[in-house]
Amino acid sequence: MKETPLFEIHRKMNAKFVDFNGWNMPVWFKDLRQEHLHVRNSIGIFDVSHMGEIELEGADAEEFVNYTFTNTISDLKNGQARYGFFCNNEGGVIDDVIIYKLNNDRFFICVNAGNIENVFNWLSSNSAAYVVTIKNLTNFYGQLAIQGPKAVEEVAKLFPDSQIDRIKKYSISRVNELDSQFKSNLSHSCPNGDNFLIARTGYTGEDGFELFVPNEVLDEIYLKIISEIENIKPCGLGSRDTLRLEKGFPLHGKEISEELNPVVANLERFIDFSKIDFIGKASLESFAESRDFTLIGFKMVEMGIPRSGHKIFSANDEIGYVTSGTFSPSLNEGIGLGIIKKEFSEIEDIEVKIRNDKKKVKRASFPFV
Amino acid sequence: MSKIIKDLKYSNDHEWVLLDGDTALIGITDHAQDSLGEIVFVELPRVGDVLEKSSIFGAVESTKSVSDLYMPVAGTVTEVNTLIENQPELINSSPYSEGWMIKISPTNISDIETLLSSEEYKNLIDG
Repeated sequence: MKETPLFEIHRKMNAKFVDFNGWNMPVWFKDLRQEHLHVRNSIGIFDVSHMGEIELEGADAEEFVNYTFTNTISDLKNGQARYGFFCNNEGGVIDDVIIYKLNNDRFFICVNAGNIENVFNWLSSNSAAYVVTIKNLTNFYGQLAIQGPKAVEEVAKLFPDSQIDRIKKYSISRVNELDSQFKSNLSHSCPNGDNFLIARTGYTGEDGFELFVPNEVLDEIYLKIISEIENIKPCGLGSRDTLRLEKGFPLHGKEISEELNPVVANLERFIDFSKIDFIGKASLESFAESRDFTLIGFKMVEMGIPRSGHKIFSANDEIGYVTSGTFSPSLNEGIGLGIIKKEFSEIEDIEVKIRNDKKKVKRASFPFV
Repeated sequence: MSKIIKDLKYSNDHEWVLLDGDTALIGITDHAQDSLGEIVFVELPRVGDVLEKSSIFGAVESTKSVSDLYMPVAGTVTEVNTLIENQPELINSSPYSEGWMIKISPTNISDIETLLSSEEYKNLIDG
């Protein structure tokens, strides 16, 4: 299994590890629930170095992103970012990504760990007509997510010259302090020169940053952050999943996938149908017209915890299935997202089959918290 | 280091069994609770259920994962620990005592002899 540069540090901290897409990653350190609540109330740090980074560079970079990405990018200023999808011709989601515009000729993309090769190959196979170079920078960059209501204030104190707190949400910037501290020691520099990037983005629903730094100095930077920020808690991927689910954020492989188009998951707001063309547009338009399925949120009424794959019923009709479910650490009850047939979308009286028994659930809007 | 109690018998599925007269008390091991993390939900069988060896008698769930519970030996459920239904965290804090799960009347008492000793179980989890 692959390991991030923080594996040894985390092993010594007695983290519990889990195989995540071929990566041996901490699922929690001491207690998933405490980690979750600490991010909601204060500040936590996640090693997300398994995530991929791909850069598009060239005179046609913007045009190429416009053609491959579902969302609008023409209005982005340098340093601004947008969430959306890379879809295949059938409208299936190859990956959901955040694309950062560094400048007119350079776009930086954060990709899910399990989809790095697929995205890279798919972009390459569609790039023939464009003056664009596709660089897979995954091996160069490690990534740390620092999240929680105290994140902006605390990280700003660490890097006073970079004016981190002035970075707007969904924007990216360089970290000058790290660059001057580490640049001369790096055995490999990033081909584009941006060795240290910080973005005000995340996957927890809390304010905070995602920090992209070279793998070779990731351990030093990590240790500096956890020793200098008082009360920061290392968190595992377990709480990352419960935090995102409480906010109703989709996870590739659950709410969206190559087989599940984003219209099913009610994510049209990240698809710009007004663009002249993008890959998958025609299929997505026809899905948007037919709308056979819809994503719903629900909470348990009877005791039990919904899990991905459980079937959803209305009386004796099987109407769909749970895409993600958990015991919500903030709410202390079972919550879930599920895909059901559209014709049942108004029905309140539904049940989820957990092991052998159907359990009553109530429809709930999401974000759940 | 997970705690193992010397005089108990153990299953490959990380349950412990304590024979007391003709009743067997069953729970999950310290190693099992530690692997699961904080337990937030437990599902237990009904008193009177007759269950085969290796059949599923319930489930324990942490926030992250679900783990089925398997009968270490065949038997009839005579009592369930209703306390842990409301306080599942007792399984974490006291897996061998307050966190017990069910009492059964074993179909064949001698089946319990076939389970692992504490040393054999220690080898299993250290292996």
